[in-house]
Amino acid sequence: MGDEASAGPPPVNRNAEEGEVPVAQEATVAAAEDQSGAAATEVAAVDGAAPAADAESGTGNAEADGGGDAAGTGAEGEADPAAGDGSPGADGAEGQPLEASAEGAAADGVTDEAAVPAPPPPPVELEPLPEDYVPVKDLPPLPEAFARNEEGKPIPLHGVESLFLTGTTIELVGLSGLGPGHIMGEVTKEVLLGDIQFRGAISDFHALKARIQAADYDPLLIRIIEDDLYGDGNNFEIALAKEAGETWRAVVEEAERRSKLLELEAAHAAAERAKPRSKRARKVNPWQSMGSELDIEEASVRPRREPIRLVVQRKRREFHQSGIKLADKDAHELWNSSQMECRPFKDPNFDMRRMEQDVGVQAVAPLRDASTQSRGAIPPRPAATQTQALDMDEKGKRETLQRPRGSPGSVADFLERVRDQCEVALVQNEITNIFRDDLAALNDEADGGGGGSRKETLVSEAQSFTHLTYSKNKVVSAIQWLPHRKGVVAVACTEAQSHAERVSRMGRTAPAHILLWNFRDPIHPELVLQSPWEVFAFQFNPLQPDLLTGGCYNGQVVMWDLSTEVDRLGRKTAGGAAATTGGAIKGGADGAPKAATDLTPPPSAAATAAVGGGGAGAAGGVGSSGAGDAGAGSAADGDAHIPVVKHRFMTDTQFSHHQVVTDLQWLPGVEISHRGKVTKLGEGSKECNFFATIAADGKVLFWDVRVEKLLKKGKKADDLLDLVWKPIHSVHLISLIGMDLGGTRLAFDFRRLEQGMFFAGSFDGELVYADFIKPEGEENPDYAKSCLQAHVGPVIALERSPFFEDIVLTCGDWQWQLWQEGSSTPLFQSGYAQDYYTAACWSPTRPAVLYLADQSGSLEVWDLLDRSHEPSIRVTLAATPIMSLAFNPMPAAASAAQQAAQQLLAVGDATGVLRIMELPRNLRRPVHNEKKLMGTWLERQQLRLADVGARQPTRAAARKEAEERKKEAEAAALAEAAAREAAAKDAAAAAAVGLPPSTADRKDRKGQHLAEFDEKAEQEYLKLEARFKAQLGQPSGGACVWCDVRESFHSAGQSVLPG
Amino acid sequence: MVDVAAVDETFKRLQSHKGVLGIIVINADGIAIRTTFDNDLTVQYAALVSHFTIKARSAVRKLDGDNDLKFLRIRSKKHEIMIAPEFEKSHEYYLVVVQDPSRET
Repeated sequence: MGDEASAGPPPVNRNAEEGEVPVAQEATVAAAEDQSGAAATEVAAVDGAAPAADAESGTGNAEADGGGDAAGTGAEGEADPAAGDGSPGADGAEGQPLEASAEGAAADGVTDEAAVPAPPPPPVELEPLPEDYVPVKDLPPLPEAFARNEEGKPIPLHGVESLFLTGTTIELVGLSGLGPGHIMGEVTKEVLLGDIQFRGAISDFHALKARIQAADYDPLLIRIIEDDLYGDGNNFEIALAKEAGETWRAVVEEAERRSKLLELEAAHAAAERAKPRSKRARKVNPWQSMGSELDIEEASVRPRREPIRLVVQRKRREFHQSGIKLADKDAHELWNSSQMECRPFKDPNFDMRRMEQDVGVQAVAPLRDASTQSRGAIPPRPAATQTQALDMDEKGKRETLQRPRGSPGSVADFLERVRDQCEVALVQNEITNIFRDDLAALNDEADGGGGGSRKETLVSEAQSFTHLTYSKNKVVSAIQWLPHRKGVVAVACTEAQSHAERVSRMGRTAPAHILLWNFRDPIHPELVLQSPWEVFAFQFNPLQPDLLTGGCYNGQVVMWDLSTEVDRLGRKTAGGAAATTGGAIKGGADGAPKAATDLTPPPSAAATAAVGGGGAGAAGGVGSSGAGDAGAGSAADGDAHIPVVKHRFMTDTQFSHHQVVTDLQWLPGVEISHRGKVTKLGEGSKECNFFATIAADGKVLFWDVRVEKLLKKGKKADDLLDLVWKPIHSVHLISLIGMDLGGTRLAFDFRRLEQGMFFAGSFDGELVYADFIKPEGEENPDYAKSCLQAHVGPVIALERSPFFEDIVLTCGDWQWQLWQEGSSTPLFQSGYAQDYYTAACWSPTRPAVLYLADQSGSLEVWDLLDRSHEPSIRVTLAATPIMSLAFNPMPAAASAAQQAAQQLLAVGDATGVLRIMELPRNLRRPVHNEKKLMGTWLERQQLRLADVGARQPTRAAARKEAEERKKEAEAAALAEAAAREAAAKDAAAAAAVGLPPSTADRKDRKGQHLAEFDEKAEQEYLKLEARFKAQLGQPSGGACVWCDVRESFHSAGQSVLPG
Repeated sequence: MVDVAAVDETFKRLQSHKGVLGIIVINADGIAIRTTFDNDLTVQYAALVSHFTIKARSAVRKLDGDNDLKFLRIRSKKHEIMIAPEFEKSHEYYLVVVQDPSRET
């Protein structure tokens, strides 16, 4: 059936149009036998399709009789499937096959209709075209009125002469009416002969006289030769033979007939065009056999044999009728019985009322509602809402104002009435400060009250980050929050190795990493910055946050440029990993082989190789983990998508530090020249091109970050092999004992950078106050203004107070100190802590609060207004030493309240874990007038220092006096001892004499023993103390001890004093 | 003329107070009849203050039909705007005084 269905329809249509039925459709149908004996006969209807076929063929039959062309087509369509279905059904069916012979008739009808396209209803004035009409363009070409010679050139017909007729001749023979469109005329022989006779030799026809006379017809035909057809210059030709004349006539007649037909055609075509499209006569192309009839032949199913007749019979008694008893009864007996009764009953259908439901459905295009809201600096002001302010002319105003007093609407009266009210209000405002914020004080009260939820009082951990490959079991040596992005912290990780261990590994490239942690993903760092050496200090450029410089263990400084990275991170596409592979391959191709093949290159070669590789990596866009990274690459399968950025520039080893770079600070807003001159850039300058580094080799180096400037002209940015990045300025610092200062920390005063003063801390605990501006004319100036022994151990923190420009916090060993710029003694020294301090910083929002971290993993919060002899809060954050602290930066524009809203402290420990601590409200929010209170506290410390200083002479005098006294006492004791010895001798002598010693002597001896013991103990103690002091590096002296005691007394007393 | 003088006198007196930035008298149509501000500021004040006062008055009257608005003080971050309205059948005026007491006049 499927084949038929696909092959069937197209030929059927074509046949219907053409009227030719190639396949005689014989709908052989099993008509059911007459059912008169249905009760007795059971017909085995084998196929259910048989009745259907019956019905269809019936329809086909009826319609074929009707002979309508539409019906014929219908029968055609129907018969096709019927033939397929009906034929097999007929096999088992009993009945007479019925030939659907109607097809023939139907087909005939179709033939007639289709062969002659129905003529359009003839317009009234239009002559109908004959039925066998052949359009003019299809007719054979017009016969020519001339013959052609063997070359194809036209020559006159046989019996035709061409001649030249003058205008006179034309007039004389009466041919002047000839012209275009009417080219043939008749002239009788008589006229021609007359002309010859009359004009004699000059007659144009004279030469043809004999032939004219001999012409076999009359009158003769003369034609115009058009366009000098024969090329002989003659203009007329004359037919002297009847045959030629006939030809001419026929040609002209035919031409005329055709032109008429053309006209008719044009008229018909116009009429046709005027009709609506549906009424136009359809042009039917004759059917062409393309082989489809063979397909139909093949596809059609025909019975190959007579249908089998099958009769199945059954005896009547075998039709289960045993339960039915039929018997005759009289009609009257039955009439009134229930079987015969015909009672009226109520047909519910008559009463049932049906409700009509009218439901309409309309399909409409889906509506979409969309709106946008314009955003921008200017709020939208639709023109419709703009109004012109009402105004009154001057005269009207004056009139209103001039209304007489007492009359309604008098302004003067009105003012009189309301004036007092206003004045009361004005006076009230004058005598009280209406702008005072009463609630602010209330808030502080609430703060002071303490209590509240856990979140309000406790330092709690918000998040922690660690990475198996990059940071696990490494030391977080530096932390910085990204200045321009929220919730991103950069962390430098270094190996937990001692210097000796490092020395043993020296020369091998050990790539270190700076990780960028985003709060969104605590598992994978957002970005990994790779450095050839371990980075101990780094900082983002505060004004161009894509630039980042870091100081390495070997003294070099590297720079990363994240500008391409940041764009990519902004997009944060999932396909980022795929995009990085290109860069990785490039970076790896350049960097990896060099690093891998040459395991122990000389430092400079390694550096240049790394620079080359790094440059290529940067140029290629992005590096990826494993690119030139022999150490970490293999372990980081799961971290393949963490982009690794290689450094862009690296300083020249020769001109870099020779020891570990311990601190790095950007210097915004200044320009430093090669000669060590500093110029301040304009206010609001967005440039920050310089940074300073300090290292253990005693140098503070100043670098210009515009490295590209150093590149030779014409060199590409990634061709860095011959780039020598040198410091622009160098400051050499000398320690107290005349060696290079082992610098650890730097502290600039960013508000007065151009003055060049800065603090530096050292590994030996010195605090150097120096000026980095090179004085004129001095080749090797002494930059240091003062060098003081502040701590015993290395200075691990050196930070200016964010609120007091001249106050500097230093922290080293077990103690922290506050220094005032220019003073030679610390303003304040804390007591000695139990554990070694590892990091310290000021609170960014509270002037009196300090945070210190120690080796036991605790965080100490010192609130100097609360107490200064011990930390206010001590929280244990980790079991491992805390190595670094950093606060999240706040935009300068943020108000105090905003700054206090969220304060996060990033804490890095010695096992590579970065913790983000959320600080409680009371530590975030400054106490009312805190800065002022802190100021007075500092003043008190200054006073104390002054007091101590003032007492120094008297103390010294007292000490001298005490020493003198001691000496005297010693002298006295010696004298006494001598006296006692003498006495002893006397006693011994006396004993030798035999006298018992006197009680006084015994007493003396006892006292002497005691005194000796005391003295010994005292000396022992002094020795111990001296040793201890020596250990601590404190100059041993009574005054200092006194100072300490006094200080602790002071600070203890302060907490009691009212703020 | 006497009445204009009385108006002037009241203006002078109010202006003699500390920190008074300006005084405007507005009529029922929101037109400033007399002002000490410049034109633009006056138009702004007149339009905005009269709307605000009408709103405030309707709030007071809706809460209690017998009540009426007598005086309105708007304390802003920079200054205080005092509005003394009078709603009479025959006329309706607002006296607006803007004061910044922390500023010397």
